[in-house]
Amino acid sequence: MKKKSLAILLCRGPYASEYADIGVGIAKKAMEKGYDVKMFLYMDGVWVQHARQSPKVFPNVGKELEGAISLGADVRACERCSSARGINEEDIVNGGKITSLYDFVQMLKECDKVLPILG
Amino acid sequence: MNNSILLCLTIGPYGHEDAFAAIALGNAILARDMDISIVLRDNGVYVAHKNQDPSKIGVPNNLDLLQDFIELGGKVYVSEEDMRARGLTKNDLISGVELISSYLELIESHDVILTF
Repeated sequence: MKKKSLAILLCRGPYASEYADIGVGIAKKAMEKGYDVKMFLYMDGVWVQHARQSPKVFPNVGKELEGAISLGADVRACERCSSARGINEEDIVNGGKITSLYDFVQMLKECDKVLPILG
Repeated sequence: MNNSILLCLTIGPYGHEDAFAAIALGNAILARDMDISIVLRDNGVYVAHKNQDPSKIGVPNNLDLLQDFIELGGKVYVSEEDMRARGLTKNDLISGVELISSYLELIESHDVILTF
């Protein structure tokens, strides 16, 4: 039987709010429930896959995202949004990708469920 | 398989990236031959204001993107109630947009709803 699929559109960055933690948490939980999870990082959401986050107080959502990727999540970030913020391939967590907005359009088309997290 | 997207834009232009990013996404969806409509409500109604001119603040005019969207075949709906609450009339808006009193029918007729 084909796995159910979930696309998450995450548009908010880490620490100013909990949206990034919520998005990554849902991704992990959905994979536990058998979903094939795809996540697209858009606007400030692209900061979530920055590799050198070092929060002193809050949980490191970049590490959490890397964990989600290692469990099978397909995580991609908008190229235009990333380059605008000076985020390049060498700046992102292992397994993360910087790709085209059209990849999210494909996720929209193909996934069974779509969860936008925009705050 | 989702074929129709309703993009609900509630945030006005220029103070945030949301309006620009939402319409850019709308144009990308249109370019992939999917059915998409944009509904402007709350402060999102300002995005269709025909006299906006951000040239002095050095950012792109969101209206260019919105007009591309309409020319590519996208439908734009504006909440009439939210427009009037902000002292605007249809004459203040670009041509090609349609006023609506409820968007329940739009919610029912699209597969996915993205709210910015």
